[in-house]
Amino acid sequence: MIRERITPFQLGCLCFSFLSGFSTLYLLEAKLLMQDVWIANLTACLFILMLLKMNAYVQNQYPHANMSDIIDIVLGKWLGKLAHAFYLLGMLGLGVLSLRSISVFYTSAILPGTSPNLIMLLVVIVTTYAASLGLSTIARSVLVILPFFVVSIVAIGFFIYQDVEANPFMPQLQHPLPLLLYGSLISFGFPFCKSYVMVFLFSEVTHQKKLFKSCSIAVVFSCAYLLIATYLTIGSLGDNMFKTAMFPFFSSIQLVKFGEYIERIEILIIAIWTIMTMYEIIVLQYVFVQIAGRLFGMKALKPFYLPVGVFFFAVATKSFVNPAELVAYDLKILPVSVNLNAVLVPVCVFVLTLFKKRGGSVQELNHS
Amino acid sequence: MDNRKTPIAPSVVRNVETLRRRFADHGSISFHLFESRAGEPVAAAAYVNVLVDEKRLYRQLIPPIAERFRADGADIESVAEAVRALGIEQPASDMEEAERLITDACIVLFIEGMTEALGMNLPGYGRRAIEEPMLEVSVRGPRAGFIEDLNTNMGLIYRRLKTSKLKSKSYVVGNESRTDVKLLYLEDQADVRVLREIERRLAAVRLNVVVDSAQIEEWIQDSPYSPFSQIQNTERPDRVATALNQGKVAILTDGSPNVLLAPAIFTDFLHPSEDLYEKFYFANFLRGLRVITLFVSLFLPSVYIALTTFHLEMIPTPLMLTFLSTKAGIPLPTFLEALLMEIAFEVLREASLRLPQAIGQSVSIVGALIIGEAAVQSGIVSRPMVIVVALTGIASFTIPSFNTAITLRMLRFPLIFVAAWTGVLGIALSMFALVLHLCSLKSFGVYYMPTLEPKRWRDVVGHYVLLPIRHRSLSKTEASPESREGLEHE
Amino acid sequence: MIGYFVIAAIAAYGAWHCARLWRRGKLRESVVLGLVSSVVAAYLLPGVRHLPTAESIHAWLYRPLSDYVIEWLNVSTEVNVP
Repeated sequence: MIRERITPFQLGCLCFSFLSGFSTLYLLEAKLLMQDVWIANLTACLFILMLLKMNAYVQNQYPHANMSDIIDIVLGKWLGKLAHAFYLLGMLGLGVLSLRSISVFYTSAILPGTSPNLIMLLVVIVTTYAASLGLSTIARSVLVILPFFVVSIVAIGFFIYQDVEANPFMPQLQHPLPLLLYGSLISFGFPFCKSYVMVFLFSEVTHQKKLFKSCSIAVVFSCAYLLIATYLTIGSLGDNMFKTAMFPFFSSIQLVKFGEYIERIEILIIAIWTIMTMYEIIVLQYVFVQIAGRLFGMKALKPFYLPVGVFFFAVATKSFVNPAELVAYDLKILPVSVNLNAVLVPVCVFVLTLFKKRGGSVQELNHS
Repeated sequence: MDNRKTPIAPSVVRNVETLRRRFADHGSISFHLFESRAGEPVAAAAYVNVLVDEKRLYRQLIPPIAERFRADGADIESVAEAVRALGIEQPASDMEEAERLITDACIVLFIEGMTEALGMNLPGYGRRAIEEPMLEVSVRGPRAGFIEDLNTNMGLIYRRLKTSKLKSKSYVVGNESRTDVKLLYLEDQADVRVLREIERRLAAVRLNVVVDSAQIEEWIQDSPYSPFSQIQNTERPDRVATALNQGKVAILTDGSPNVLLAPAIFTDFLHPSEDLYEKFYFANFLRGLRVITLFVSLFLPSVYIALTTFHLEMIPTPLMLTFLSTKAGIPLPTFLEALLMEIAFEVLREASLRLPQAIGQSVSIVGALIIGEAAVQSGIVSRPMVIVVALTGIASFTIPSFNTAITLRMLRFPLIFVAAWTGVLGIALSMFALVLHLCSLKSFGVYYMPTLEPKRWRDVVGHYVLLPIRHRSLSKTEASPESREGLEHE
Repeated sequence: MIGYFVIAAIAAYGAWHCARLWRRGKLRESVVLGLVSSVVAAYLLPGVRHLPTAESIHAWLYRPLSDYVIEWLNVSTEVNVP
């Protein structure tokens, strides 16, 4: 079978969709930091750009290997396997979070009478279908959906802006440094650090030199989208309503009216937004299967997309049964737990690659 | 399969006997025996009398040959030369070849002492006159449409592209029907890899009888199980000429008025050839309208069901009150109402298609008016539902490709079920699955769904928007670099 | 109801593909697929309650560190959840 590769532009669009789908759902860091949230978002964004640069550097040293191979080469077989196991666990955690977030959102805001398990199952069916079609199809579908998403978000943003009376990011620097630090950690944990998953797709990109450029543009756009959404949400809802709303951006969209006649247009936006959120689960499912294949030394991976999708669903049915648990996890555990996968392993790989490069072993490996 | 060939015997009588055996109970095989002055059989012509032009045969061919055989001192070689001079020039070296020529509207001549037969094409069967296409009607532009005769269709295309770069390749498809298939392309425009792939797939067709291009289409397309056609078909020579100039390949099938165009992309099915003959403002307005009608024909009933069943709060209050008041007293849930009306609409459409045109129109009008009104009056369905179904039906008729319109109508039904089950979530998921499916399709290595590409943005825009003729690029449908690799390796 | 349906579906899918992969000589894939299908079925069985999840493993691994960080920074992480 010929493996189709994607262009850097497609990678960038996919990365943006992957990061931005859920980023505006809870706005937890904004609930903690209010007007100072931009500091946390920018800090997290800068940090993740640094990590992406490292990852792109490592990938460029091994242009013919994917990140799983590189981890094995650099860390050794058994340490590599351990790292892969942690990656799988991390991706399963992110996938379960996403599935639960969709079901919580739908059951509390759109379809109160529908079973959360049914919602998760339907989502998994579609994401499994998508993952099984391959990366090229996934990336191409982003290019179809993204223009609709951008147009609808720009339009809705314009209408929400009419409700913003004062600059919600003023007065600035009203929170202590530790809280700003922790807010940055939360913002780093969700959504930015998820970009470590994209690193596993680097080897499937046509122009390896453009990896960092395309991903960094996506991260910057994602940060801009998050900041604009936060600005509009706090500005239109006000501090108190913003803090009490479970899904603040959704609540601000609910306020939009076109003239006196058309109101409550959020359903239209939700349809597009739902599709965008899918990309997180799709990419996770796809990469999960690839890494699992690597971990168990398997070549025929096509039959695994469905069991892995159902595995995500099965674990999700047992996780975060109470929405409060989900929010607590996002606030307390996720900012810490992602560091192993998103920071520790990539930094180790980067440093070891640097050492090996000096020793000349990278060239030897590529040559072999 | 038995591949043994039966040689042609030097004896004319034996050859005639062999053919009589082969064509036993055929009913239309005819023989004409030529005798020498001494009354001995020296040659025989065999043909299918319902296929050849018998009048021409007995006026122009038989008399000079018969005269030559009766002439004094006529040796076989000189007779054969004379016969060749009359235009009898397709040789058959065995009985199987002779049989193929006979069934292909040829007269086959067996000469005593010769182990080779000579054939001449003399078709005499009826053929339809060139008329306006039935399905691809246009207000402006050429009126000619293809007919069932391959040579006439080829002529219609050659008349529009007067260049030596227009090349053709011939194939015979179908074990029993032995249908002639021609592949047409413009030398400098067509992608060689696409062309090679089409040739490979055509050569791999395993069918006994090919009576229409649809059979070939189904056999050679990339994803035969997809509801979307990945090969365009047209009845219009002007469309074929334009497509050839865009680098596409045309496949003509003898006996079919539909020419296949490959590779095809999704937007090809949404734009009629008439777009090219209108002012680009108007053409783009219509294109925009067709995109809207595409969404309407696919999603309107399901969106209506989702809104009225799950998301009433989204409907503006006065409209919601109207909906609720019309819904009062209707015993069926909205989902069943929609299903009932959609099925009734499809039945009416199918009935009006199968009946003669005049009666068909009456059936559709009477059916729509009377059944719709009666259903509303008797309180089985609500008025808004009738409007929704009628709008959906009309919207689907604006899609120029008949196959695509049918596909959209068919997909409406699962969408209705999903919307009734999970509201807007189901619609969003279905829409996404549909986009994924379209993005996964390819037509001979070319992606079916054109998507944004910074380097080829002008081509991509050209697929959706008709630019003024001075700024229009050719927008060749080349195989993507990735899929080219795939084609080479397959 | 959904659980039973998914168990039946994954059991059928798992069995069919396991056999198919086994016949093609892909033993490793076949075994892993069977294993994944069994785990999925176990998770979905109605009686089974205390299987580890990504959430529970992460909480077990990282809660001490998280508590330490929060305590060290001395921040309040309380937000409203309606």
